[in-house]
Amino acid sequence: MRIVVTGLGTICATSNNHKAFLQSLQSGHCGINETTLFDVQDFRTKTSGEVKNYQPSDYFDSKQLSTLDRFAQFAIISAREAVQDGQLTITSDNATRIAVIHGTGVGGQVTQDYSYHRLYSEGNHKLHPFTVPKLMPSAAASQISMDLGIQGPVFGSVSACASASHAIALGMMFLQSGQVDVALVGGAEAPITPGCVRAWEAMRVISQDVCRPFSKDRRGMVLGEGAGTLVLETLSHAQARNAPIRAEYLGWGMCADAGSLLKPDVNGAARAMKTALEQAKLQPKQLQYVNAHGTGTPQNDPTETQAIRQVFGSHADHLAVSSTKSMLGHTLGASGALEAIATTLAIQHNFAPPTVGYLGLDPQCDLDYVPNTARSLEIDYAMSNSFAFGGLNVALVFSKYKI
Amino acid sequence: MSNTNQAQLFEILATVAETDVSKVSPEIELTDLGLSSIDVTEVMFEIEEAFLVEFPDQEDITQRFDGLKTVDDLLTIVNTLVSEKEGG
Repeated sequence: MRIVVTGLGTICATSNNHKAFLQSLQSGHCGINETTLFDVQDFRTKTSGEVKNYQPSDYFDSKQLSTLDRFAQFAIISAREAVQDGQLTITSDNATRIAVIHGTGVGGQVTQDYSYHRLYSEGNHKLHPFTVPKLMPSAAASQISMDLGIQGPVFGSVSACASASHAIALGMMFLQSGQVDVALVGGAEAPITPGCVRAWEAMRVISQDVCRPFSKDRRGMVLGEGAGTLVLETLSHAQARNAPIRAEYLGWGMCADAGSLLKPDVNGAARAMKTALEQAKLQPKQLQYVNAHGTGTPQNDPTETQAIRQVFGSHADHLAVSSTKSMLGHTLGASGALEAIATTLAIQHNFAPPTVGYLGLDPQCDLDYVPNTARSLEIDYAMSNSFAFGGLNVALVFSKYKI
Repeated sequence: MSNTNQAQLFEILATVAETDVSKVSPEIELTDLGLSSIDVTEVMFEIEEAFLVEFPDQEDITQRFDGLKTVDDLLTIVNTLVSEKEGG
């Protein structure tokens, strides 16, 4: 059963819809700036990838907004756009044949952080009655279903920085099961809060300025926020309703390291990529582009480079490999969705998005990372990688849609 | 001062490495105590808590302090941080 991508929706540090997202990927625009969501004066970490020019009231009335954490707002915005982009009409006739699977790393972090501040710091024992339904990690999936009237299988997927990629993989399984015709899949995250930033600082993996994946002198990751949603559907369903087909979705690979909690594993990463290629029935040499996990930490980037070399062999030297986290920051549970969408756009528009902030070669990272400037590239087949803390690995494979 | 720092550091290392404090000596390398890079991050946190100091950078300690291998190397850093704090 062939599965295709028919709709895209994004909101992130560089852009508030997927058409602007495409332009930002082509121009190599970096969305990492000084944090404005709270006062960072006493923080070591002063930068992040915040969504810009965002007024919630542009998207939601006050009643709906009172029930939405920031991460769920982003989720709905991306889902609405994806449905519109995919020209999908949701009615009582098809509502039960559509799934929503939406990932998040931490869920309603803004609600949680400020509720606890009120409780523990201000000594105010009365919390808002919507605290629980706003912060639950499944809130994004539920809110998308309510906003759009979707009544099929709806749930959240949780696997830290691979959450959205697991959601995208699950979307294919649900479509292949025959239970649904369409699946809205993706992820959302809004982690830029004082508590969350402090927690990330403590792990000593955060850069003090920008994110320079695979580059010499890289200093770590930068937190970002946003959401991405893809409309997936069976080819026959897409054809029957004359849907715009952006790309074909060929397969996924997922596995666990069962090793270190934090340290990435070459073999686990490689195994996910190999499984995805097998499921897609592709030889490594057929791919032109890999959207890397590429966090910009000292540990991830050499490990991922080795894993790509293990899977692709000598063809690794002919691959364009880039990390869009250099522009968006690390959006954790949303990253897999934004990166799968970047990969889809790269295939559709024949270009490799750049790795910006690249200063020069690190001998341990010796692939072609498309440094600093996007490149025209005819892409037939491409992969998107996500490797999460806890040793959870996902690789997704997409291709140009050909009849 | 250093001796107190040393005793406290040895306790921290022994706790994180889940070993007896008698196994910790100035010459022994952190990796020989069984400490991974994740463990070292935890050690840094415990040092910051115990000595009320702050490591100046977010980077992994082994990168920031080039050549850090032994317990004594770490003790030198702790002594420096403590004296900087007291001096400042």
